[in-house]
Amino acid sequence: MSAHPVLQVRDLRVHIRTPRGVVRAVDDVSLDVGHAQAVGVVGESGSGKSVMARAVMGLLPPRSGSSGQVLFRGRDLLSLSRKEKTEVWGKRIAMVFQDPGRSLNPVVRIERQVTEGMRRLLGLNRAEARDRALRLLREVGVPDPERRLRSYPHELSGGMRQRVMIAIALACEPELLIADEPTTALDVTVQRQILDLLRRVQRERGMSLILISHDLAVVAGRTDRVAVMYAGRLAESGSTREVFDAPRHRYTQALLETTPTLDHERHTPLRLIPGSLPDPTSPPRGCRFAARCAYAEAACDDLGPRPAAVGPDHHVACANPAHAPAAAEPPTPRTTRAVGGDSLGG
Amino acid sequence: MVFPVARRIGRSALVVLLVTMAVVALLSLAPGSVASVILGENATPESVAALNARLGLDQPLWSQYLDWLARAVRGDLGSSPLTGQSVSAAIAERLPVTLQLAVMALVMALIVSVLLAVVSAVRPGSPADRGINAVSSVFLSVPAFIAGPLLVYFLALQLGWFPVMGWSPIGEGVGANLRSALLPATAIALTEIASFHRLLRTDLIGTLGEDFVGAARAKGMSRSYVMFRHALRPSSFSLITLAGINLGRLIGGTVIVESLFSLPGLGQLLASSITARDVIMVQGVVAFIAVLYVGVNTLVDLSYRLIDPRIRKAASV
Repeated sequence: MSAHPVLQVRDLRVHIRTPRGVVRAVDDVSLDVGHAQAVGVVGESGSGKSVMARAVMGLLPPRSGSSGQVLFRGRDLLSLSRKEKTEVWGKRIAMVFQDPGRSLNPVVRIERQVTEGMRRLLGLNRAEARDRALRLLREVGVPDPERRLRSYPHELSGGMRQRVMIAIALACEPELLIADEPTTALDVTVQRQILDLLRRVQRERGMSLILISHDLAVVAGRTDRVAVMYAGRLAESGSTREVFDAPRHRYTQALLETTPTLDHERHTPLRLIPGSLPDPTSPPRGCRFAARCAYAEAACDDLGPRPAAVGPDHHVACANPAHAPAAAEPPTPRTTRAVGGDSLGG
Repeated sequence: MVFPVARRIGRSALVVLLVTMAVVALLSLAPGSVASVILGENATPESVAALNARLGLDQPLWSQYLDWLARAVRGDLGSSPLTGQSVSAAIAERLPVTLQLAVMALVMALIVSVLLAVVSAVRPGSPADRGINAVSSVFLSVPAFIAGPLLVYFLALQLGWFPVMGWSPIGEGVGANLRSALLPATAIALTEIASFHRLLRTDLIGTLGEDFVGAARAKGMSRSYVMFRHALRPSSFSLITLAGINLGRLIGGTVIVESLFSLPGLGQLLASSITARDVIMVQGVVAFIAVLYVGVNTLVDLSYRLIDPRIRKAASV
């Protein structure tokens, strides 16, 4: 979409040593995030989406290794020196974590948690940082910000805490914001507010956003492009509209078909994808989804399909992809939960 | 706030009462009395009985105890029949030595163990961590009465850096005072370092795996900033508990080290009074130590409010 991608993930592999063996959490993933673009990353638990985000943030667990490139504005984050890293993380790339109850320090007042980053990275003095913190808290919709600065995290509700986390992430005006399941730990009613807030600040600032979620509906209306991950690999990527309107990968298709709808007939079982994720320590040689795929062929077990272009901005890694929309029934994502769907625009 | 604190103090008073009762009961089981100690080996049973009657020691145990208690609650702990010195004066004379030893040992142990725990927790399983763990196991298993003589042998006798034994009061110069206190305090601190280090290391490793540590790193804060400003405080709750309990324990428990280095502290006073069957002195000192111990523990519990804001909101401590 954009001529100058902010972030280019190239052939990223991350492996984590565990007692049960080496887990290849991210296996050969490439992904672009354009300027001022919102990219959704969707996948089940264990698909590697969070590990990929942590690799971008330099927050990989101690017993892990990575290869490939994470190019941010053309510089490879994986090979930066420690000093160069501090120039990027926090200042130019920021992150919002899954559970705001756990990502705020319980014994440190909100004021220091919001201001410490900008004081260190932007060199603001105490008063300037405080003013800026108040502005940010107002912007993200925290009422009575003066009082909130003096609060401890446990005195705030979950939604308020996530707003504070977003304010912290925005503190240094980052060019890229990574939101890793930012609403999973929140009440359903609050989820939508937080997602809309993220989309709003992203657009207002012309910032790039990576929105990670296991929930298709979360990503559907709020992103420009989407990447679907399965068992550490990228299954399909493309413009959000195209991927949801005309999914080509059999996994994406199955995932969309399992989304429960309001007009689901009562007392009939919900549709599921049979089976479960492959053993992460010894994934199958070919397509990782083959064992659960209704359309698997012999070829699927032999070669790991490489992502191939099926449209101007649409790549699929499937040996036997679904037909183009004309032939297949296009399963459109329908608004199924209060969390929203396509109707919110995108 | 008032009610829980009052209930706490009431409970603490009960503990002190039970401790003094137990001491009286235990001492009454031991043979001999202070009268026979005062009168020496040549005393006749009649003279011992007469002195016992004069000291009120012929009364039944419960009435002796009640008399003592009635005076003690008014602040009068009585005087030693052996030396004639009042118990309060004896405590006041000995307490500074013991207190200085205990506090010095604890401060030394806390400083060293926090630094070691940070080094360990940064990279668990690293050569540095394993080395520190090995040394701390040694410290943990070497009691003060082994560590003390070893320290004296190497640092005092061989190198001559410190006096071998004895005590220079702070009034005779701070330098000399610290020199005389450092070796015994180190002997006490070694064990404490080991247990503090183990506790804090485990808690720190746990905290460093928390999301808020990752979030602070993602803000661009340096490793050392995250360690000292974010991770250390939430990791130190159990350390503070242990340090508080140990401070209370050390006030009454430096007996061995005080004897080894012949320091005029509370522990030595207690030990010599027990040998002399000086029930009044023992009772007074034990009651005093019990009050201090319970008091320190109450303060520790109340200090959680300062360090953990989440407790300030809780209904009772």
